[in-house]
Amino acid sequence: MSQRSSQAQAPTIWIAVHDLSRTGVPVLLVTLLQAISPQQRACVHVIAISGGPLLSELRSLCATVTVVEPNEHRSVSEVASLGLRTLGMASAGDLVRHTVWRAKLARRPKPDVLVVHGAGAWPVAEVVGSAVPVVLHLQELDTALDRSIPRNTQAAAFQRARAVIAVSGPVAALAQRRGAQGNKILTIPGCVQLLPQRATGDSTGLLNGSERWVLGAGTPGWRKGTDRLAAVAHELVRAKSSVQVGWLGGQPNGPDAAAVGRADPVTWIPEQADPWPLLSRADVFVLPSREDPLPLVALEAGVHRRAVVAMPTGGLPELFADGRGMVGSSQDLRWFVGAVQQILNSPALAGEMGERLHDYVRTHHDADVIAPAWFDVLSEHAQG
Amino acid sequence: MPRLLIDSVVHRVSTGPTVTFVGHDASRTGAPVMLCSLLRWLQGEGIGGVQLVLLSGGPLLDDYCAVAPTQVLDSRILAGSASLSTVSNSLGHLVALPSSVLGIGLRRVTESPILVANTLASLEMARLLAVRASTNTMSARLVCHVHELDGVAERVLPASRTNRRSLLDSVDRFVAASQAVAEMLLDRLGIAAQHVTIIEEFIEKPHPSLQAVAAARKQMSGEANRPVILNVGAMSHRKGPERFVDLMSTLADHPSSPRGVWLGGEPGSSVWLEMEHDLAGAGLEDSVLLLPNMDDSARYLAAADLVVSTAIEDPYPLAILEAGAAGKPVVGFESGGVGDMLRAVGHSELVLPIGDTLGMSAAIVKLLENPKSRGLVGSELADWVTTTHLVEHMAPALWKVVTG
Repeated sequence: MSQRSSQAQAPTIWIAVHDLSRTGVPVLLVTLLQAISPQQRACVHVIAISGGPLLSELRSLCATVTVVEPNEHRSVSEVASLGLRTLGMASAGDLVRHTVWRAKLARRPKPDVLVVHGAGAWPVAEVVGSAVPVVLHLQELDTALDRSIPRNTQAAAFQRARAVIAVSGPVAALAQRRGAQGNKILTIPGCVQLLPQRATGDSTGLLNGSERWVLGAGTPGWRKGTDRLAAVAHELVRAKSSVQVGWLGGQPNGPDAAAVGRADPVTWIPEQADPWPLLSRADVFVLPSREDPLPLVALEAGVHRRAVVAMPTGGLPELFADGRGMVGSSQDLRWFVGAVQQILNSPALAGEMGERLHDYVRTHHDADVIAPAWFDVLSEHAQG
Repeated sequence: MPRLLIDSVVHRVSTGPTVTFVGHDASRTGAPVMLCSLLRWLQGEGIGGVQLVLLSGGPLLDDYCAVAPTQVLDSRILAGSASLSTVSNSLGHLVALPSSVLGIGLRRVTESPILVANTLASLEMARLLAVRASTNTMSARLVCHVHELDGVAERVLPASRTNRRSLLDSVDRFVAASQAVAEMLLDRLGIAAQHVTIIEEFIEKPHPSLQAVAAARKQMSGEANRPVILNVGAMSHRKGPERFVDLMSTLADHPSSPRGVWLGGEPGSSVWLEMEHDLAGAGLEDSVLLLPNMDDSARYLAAADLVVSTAIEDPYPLAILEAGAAGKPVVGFESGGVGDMLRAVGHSELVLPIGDTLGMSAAIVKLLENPKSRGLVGSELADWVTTTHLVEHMAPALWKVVTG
């Protein structure tokens, strides 16, 4: 078979993603694309509803990247669409949005399969013809899923999907509860690149040299439980500990923003392109999440041999079982704060946990093993 | 009480109202409830010449109509404009209908020389009415009664700095609902101190019947008569429902088996669903009761053992004043007026830094385990509220500021 005919038979894979921010869902996409072959990447066209800092990196990893809405503000058509919805004219709002998006996507080669990478990208499925097979890569739990796909349309969405890829067991169980057939669901866990560990240390100078730190990372808000950091910090102060509490990923917004700076004991660190030179300073890495399917930062903590204290949500109880970390049996704030203090008081325990987690991540979440399996699933569902 | 000069003017005017209050809605929330108290007081004092214009309706509408001529601006153009402004503000766009178009929906509003925006959220509409009154008849006075703090102010004021400055500069007098609000106006919104008067929030003394209180107690506490820790407020992140769940998780093992009750919110709303999610995650379904918005929160406050405020931003919460009037001890975060109230009665130890949930838990445990101390704090709060913060104490000063 000539190279030309081989290329002609390669499927065209559209991967839709909500945005290109440096957050879990888009970062996982970058990780997966980095770990497949250049020939496989050449089939991939990424459709992002809005842009973000991962745009240039993604452009180097696939055939094309199309951003349908500007990142810095909403387009006039989107404002019109939202305005129409607000006025009770949802159909007209949808029509405006779909027309503009279709026009933007018309120049791309027709897809053999649409992969909805995270439920937040489901609106792209609504503008792609119903004949195109859809694979839904689900990376949400209850609340996030309900906000991405209205509850009353979820069953239809799961019916439309030829396959549902879940990032953890609880996500797979949720998909089934919401209408996906069991034989369509497969679990492909989140993964990370097991790169040689970089030199530790804070090259940015944001964290002072001699202090001990409790650190976490992610987009601040209810879901990540960042309001709980203040509780940790105040308790450490009461215990006369000099350990500092910090969060990498920017300051909270919404109502919490007003509280930031008002005797706030938490150091809020801006998002970093490479957060681990900073985060590897953590004496304890915390995951205070209320809802988190399987945060990549938990796997990265394993790569960097950090001791982790986590609230029980999504795939975290399994990840941190058998002494690989500390995970609560319920969302119990007092337990959480106590666990942080226990690890701070026992560096040896922290070291053992970090090593165990490192070994587990290496054997269960290696992108070089998981990404090819992921791409095989996409290819299998492509037409033609 | 001494009559104000404006009262005689108001009584003499027969052609129309002298003061138009502009409210954002008729919900049973702080600012609308306090305006209703003020209007009822004006009616009781025989002061006429006021009217109320609302941007939208709500459950307080009948109460409003009973105390002042009230109209809801139900014009589709206005509703559309408000929605578009909200959307465009949230999106950082500057899409707004010109005032001439908006004016079409205002034709039914009788002009008056004094306009009072009851919140920052209704200031834009009050200014439109003031501009219209100034153009046609006289120079109208624009007063803005600010019940918001930074987070809400940021959301409801125009996103454009120029438009925001222009709107704030059009106000002749700001009434700040608390010291914290005044600090926001001066320090963060650039208002000159001479344009700001602080008048703390006030309430009408609640009088729930004994039967109503007993029924509320049974509903909250159950047959086992568990101590009730009550939080009253609209269920939004500003009021800290997620912190309330965390707080109750720290009290789950207390021997008295306290029952947490959150009063306020709409079942099915996004934050309500989040709270249900949090309660399930913490295993607290049997320890925390969620109650939707009620017409009469006073009976629940009177039936509680302790009232907490987990809000992270609350200028001067009426529910805490009502709790004080009912003689209930209060514990809260340093989120605005709660701290002022507790410090006023010498109990700063019951004010915790925002987010110090375990510190709040410890303060509550002390009160739970010491009924005498609970009673003492409650009676001190009751004395203070009923001698300083009832409508009859504060409304005359507010009316004086309104009328200049």
